[in-house]
Amino acid sequence: MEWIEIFDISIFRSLLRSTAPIAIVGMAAALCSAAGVLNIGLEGKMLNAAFAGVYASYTFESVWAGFTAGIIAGLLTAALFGLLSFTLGADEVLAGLAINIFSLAGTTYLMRTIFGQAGFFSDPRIVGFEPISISFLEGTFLQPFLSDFTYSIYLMFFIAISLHIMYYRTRLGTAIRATGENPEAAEDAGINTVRIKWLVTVFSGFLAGISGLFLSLENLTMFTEGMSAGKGYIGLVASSFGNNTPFGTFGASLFFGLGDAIGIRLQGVYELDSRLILMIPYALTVVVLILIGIRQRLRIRPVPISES
Amino acid sequence: MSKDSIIHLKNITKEYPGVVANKNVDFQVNKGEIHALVGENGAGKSTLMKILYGIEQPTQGEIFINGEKQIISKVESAINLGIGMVHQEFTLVPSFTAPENIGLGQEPKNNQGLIDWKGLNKLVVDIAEKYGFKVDPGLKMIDASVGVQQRTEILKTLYRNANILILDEPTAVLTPQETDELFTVIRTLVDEGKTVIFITHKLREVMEIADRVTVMRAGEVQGVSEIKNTSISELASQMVGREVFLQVKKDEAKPGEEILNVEDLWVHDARGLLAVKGINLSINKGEIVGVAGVEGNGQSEFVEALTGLRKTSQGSIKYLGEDIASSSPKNIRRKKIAHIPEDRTNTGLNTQLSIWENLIGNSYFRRPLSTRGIFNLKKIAEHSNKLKEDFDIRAPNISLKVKSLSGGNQQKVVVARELSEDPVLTIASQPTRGVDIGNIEAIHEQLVQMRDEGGAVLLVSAELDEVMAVADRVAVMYEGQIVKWVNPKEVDQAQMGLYMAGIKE
Repeated sequence: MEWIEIFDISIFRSLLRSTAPIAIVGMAAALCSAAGVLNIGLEGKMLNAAFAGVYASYTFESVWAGFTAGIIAGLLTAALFGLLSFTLGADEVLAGLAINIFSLAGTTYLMRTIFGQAGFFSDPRIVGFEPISISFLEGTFLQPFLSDFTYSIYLMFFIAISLHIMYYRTRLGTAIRATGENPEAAEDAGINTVRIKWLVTVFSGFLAGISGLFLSLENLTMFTEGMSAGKGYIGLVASSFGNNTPFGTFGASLFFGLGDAIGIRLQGVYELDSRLILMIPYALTVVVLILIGIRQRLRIRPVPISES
Repeated sequence: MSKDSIIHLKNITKEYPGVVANKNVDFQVNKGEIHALVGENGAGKSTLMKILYGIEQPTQGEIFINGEKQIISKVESAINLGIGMVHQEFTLVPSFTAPENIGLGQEPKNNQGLIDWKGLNKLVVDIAEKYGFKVDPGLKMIDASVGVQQRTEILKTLYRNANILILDEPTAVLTPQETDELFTVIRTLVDEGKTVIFITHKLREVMEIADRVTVMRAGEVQGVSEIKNTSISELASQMVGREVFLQVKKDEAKPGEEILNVEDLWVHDARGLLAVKGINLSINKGEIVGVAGVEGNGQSEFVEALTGLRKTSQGSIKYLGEDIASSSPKNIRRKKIAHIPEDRTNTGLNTQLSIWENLIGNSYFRRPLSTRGIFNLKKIAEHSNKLKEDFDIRAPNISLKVKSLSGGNQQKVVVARELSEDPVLTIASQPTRGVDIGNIEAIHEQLVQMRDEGGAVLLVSAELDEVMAVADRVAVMYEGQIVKWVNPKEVDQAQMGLYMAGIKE
């Protein structure tokens, strides 16, 4: 098989599938970072949403029950983060870490006690999201590019565009950016920075919830212990690489998604060790962090003395 | 008179735990006047203005705006009452342009509810023109000069329809020429019907710009005067409670051999821009060399290079004949070079630690303060108590955390530590910033004493009066270069102002 054959339409679709959870949680991270909140707890929010989604979908045999429960779980976890960080004044990093550890242990415990299963839980009663087929594209050449994706893929684009408009064209957006860059200036302008931080935190819970649900109710309909697998952290790196802007974060997430998609494809072609493939996103994270470091260095370009 | 009263703070008392910042203060401003509020650091001026601007609540007292009693519980209420404040530390978002900063929180919207950036830009330019200043709507604040940033701050208050502008120490960061420009702006504002409260401790400026002046000391009002009926010396004695001598008593310097020789020194700043551009300077035993200039003209980077905190890019720094350029701070300190840094709380001290821990920061490793890595607490206490005594650090005991000391006493801890190890060269950067007059005198005397005992001193200060009074020779820095060497006895303030603005001869 030739290299070129790896890049076909299925890799494009696989790319978007791999990108979506990272991009959505990454934009949550970007929004928080833009407002000066270092939200490490996104990982836990995803995991709780993934679990709650599976639980409610299984119990009520309804995907929308799962969706509602997942979003609520994401919001509640976000509220816990806000309570710890803003109301009680805990260190944001520690609060986020605490939430992640608690969520991993909590969902594992609940899965074992509720479902009596260890490792993973899968059941035909769990209803997942079906792909959306766009009827007017049927039969056209656009169909494989645009149709038959699950919700979060379409949502990903919608969120990126809406956030971009919000950032640069609304009072809320400028208030968020001012809060992150110079809180005193924001306060001086009559902006309640604590309220802004709460707002982005709660909204990040919503986005992380969507991202978590994508994991457990879209392509797979199951819950696995620790199934967020560091995507919340990767999202943070993507937002940092994307300068905490929606489009920048989306672009950086595509990079992670591409690595993932190529890895999956190579696995089929070369029969590589699957554990090696699973490592790709994490290896890419390190690569991106190095790139961020290099970029920061390049930004500071000493003026040559001779020019003066 | 009272019918024109636009602000009346009546019988204001503000208590913090253990401190009374304002005591029965009566402060009244007439509509359309320029009212100066003067006092030393810690006199209670800022607290009073924070109360007026809704940042702090008075423990007791009433506020009348235009004759009506008001409760200003938050900044928003103050803004709604037409009060605007330009803080000493600007509150600007660096990556935002002037209009983005000015409109923040109150940007005009279009029909879709989105921000109308074009409309905002036009609005800002129009307001600026009305008050006679220019604004570049595309310029980000990070790239703007201090003067432009200040004007942006003033525009911000005007955009929010302020009728009363509070300017907190507005000239502290300006050159004399920029100060003149600011004064022109202030006069235009008053001509257009605005009222200006001008907070400062520079009495010369008060005499030049204000109509009336209120003097505060130790939380109380000492006097209110019409400018035409008062004088600098009267205001000064009200301010400090005694006659002040801005002169420093010292004999003629007797310079000895060369201690430091800086040749063609070039230094980059943190952003990679050239901050120091080819400085030549030498300091001899027994003299104080001053560096004057408006802040941000490379003085900080120059001092950082001398003390090893910043790598040099070209040139040499010869200390007793040895090149110490880009050497480590520890190495440099070992050679008996003391450094009183400009930023007391971040570089000069660890404010979370006790007085004694701060006092031994440069000597803890030597005998008898420690042996084989173990502190000798008894010797340390003796050492620290002696310094506390010698340098008149006012604190109940040496175990007190430094953060609980006043600014002046904190600075004395720094000075005591730095001068305690018998330095050959003392580099003092803004050594009296935020220090009250009594302690300023003490610090100046100590620097002169170092000199008289055969030390070499480099004094870098943005306070022109200080450099002129203390130094024997003065270099004026502008945009990273020494543009002029002067003898402080042979030059006046106006001339210095021109040099500081980069205008040579």
